[in-house]
Amino acid sequence: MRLLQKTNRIYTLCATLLFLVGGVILFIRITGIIEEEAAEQLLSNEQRIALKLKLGQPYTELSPVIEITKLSKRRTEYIALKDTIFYDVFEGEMEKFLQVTSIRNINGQAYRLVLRQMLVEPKDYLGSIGLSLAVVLALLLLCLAVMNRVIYRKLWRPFYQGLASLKDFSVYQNSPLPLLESNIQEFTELNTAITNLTGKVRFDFHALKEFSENASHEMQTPLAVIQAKLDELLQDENLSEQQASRIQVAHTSVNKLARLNQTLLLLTKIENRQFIYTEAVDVRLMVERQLQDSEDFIQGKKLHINYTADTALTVMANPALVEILISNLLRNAIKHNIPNGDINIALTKYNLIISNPGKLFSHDPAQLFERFSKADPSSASLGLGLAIVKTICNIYGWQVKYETHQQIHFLQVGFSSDALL
Amino acid sequence: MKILLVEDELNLLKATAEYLRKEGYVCEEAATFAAAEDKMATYQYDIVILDITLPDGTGLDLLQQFKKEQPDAGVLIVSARNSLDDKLTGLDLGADDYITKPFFMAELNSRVNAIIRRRQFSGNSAIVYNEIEIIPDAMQVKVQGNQVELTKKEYDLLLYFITNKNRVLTKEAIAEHIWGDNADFADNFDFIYTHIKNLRRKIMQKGGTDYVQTIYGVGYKFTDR
Repeated sequence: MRLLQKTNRIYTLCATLLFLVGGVILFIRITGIIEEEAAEQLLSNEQRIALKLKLGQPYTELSPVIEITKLSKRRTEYIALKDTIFYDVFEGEMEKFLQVTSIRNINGQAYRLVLRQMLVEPKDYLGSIGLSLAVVLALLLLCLAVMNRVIYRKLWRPFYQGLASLKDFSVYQNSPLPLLESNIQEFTELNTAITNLTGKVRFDFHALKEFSENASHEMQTPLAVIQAKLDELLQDENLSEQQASRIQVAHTSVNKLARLNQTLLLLTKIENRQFIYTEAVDVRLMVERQLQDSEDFIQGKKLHINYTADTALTVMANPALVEILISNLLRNAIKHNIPNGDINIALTKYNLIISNPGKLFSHDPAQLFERFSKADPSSASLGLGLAIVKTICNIYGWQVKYETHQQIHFLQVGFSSDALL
Repeated sequence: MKILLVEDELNLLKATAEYLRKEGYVCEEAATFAAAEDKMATYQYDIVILDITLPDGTGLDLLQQFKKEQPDAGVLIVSARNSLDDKLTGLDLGADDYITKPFFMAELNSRVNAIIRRRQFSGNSAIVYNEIEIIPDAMQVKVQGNQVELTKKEYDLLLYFITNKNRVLTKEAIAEHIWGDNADFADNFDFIYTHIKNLRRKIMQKGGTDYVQTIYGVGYKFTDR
């Protein structure tokens, strides 16, 4: 739930409760006042009639509002006020009346005076009170909602803007997080905290990256020295077969280490988005060229290529990266294939799908794209091929999916439509 | 053939220089930007092998300067960075080729040879090894005057062998030369074996000698000794 919704909800609930309480109090008070006024009026009317009787003035009877009865004997004077229900002939229904009954001894004659006044029925004004309050409540809430919205837009803007830039934050970015200046203390503090935190993260990440990059670079030269020296050793004609084969093993390992190092450097470079140059790359052409380049390996394993390209597929990307992407996918399909197996390559409007039969991957398929995850731990491969594929897809926002059906592995790259031409 | 070798890592500098001298080149060494600058200004070189990352400057500046002074000389850039940008900048500035550290000595030799062929003889001169004659310009191979039909890879292989004759060439080095970055494809090196087998057969069919020796567990050696 959004902050605005939440506050609006609380406001609505509180205001409604307050208005209900107010309505009840108002109702009780109005009922009281009406009855008090009616009683006062009846009592003063009773006194007026009593005065008239005393002065011997003529009086009118008006049943059931004014009833005057002469009594035969003197009685003790009293006056009483009470509610009563009466059938009103004109209204044609039972009505509530307030009634004053008194016994008066005036000029030696006893009278019973009964005065009645119809009361306003509570249900008549209850509706009015409810309606008025409801209208006022509605107006109030509307005003509150509008005000809140306006206040939110204005006051909370730095917050939402900060939130948006935080969502887009990447440790790779070169500039500090853009945050909106605010004169509200809480937001200023928040911004400072965010700036410090992201700055630290960026700095640490950069330092770490630089370190591993430098370490890799620095390793290249010693590796070259080792390789050169081993190569030199191998040239010695007096070497025994055993010695030569030992040197060869060292040579192979150094070579693998060098390739590993280079591949890691490549990954870092892709992640750093150092391949800035982009142009329109014809994926179909690239696939065909890679197929040609891999001919030896395909023939070596006696693999059958089923290649279908429905349409031309052109993407905006760095040509070297697209080449690496395709060659890694193809390499993967060749390496993990069975002898005499098939490689199906399908190029559709948005997708490149490469599938091949092969041993099942024993780990979680999601790990397939992790660095150094290998289907066969003993294989000579570096286990970086698909990590590179994934990294390249990530920087261009392409989707890469792995699926397996009946011992056939499917790797699909979905080129996002905005990368297409 | 006079080569200037610019490399800041002394061990590598010595090893490479020693190797190049064995191959019959006159090789001068420079370990710093300043030393290289001095030598370039003083002597004439046919080829400069230039490391891009030097402690006191970048090899790219050196390249620019050198190309102004000796435009006819060939330049081979060496870099620890497998960076496309460096490569393109280097080639734009007039370098002939680019090689990434760590490299195989045979590969370096092969690249240097290619540059020499392109520069010195404009690719016209044939390479002759006993009865085998290679005409690089036409990518033709003749054995005792008879033309041999070789595939692109067999041709590359033969040229590589002759350039690095009398040396033990490891399978890795051969694979890397022929397939470049795709070399790590090769879980085993049967692919090389197939190409070498075909190359031997084709040369022998035209009456040539089989100069390819198999060094068990290591690789191959092309030699008439």
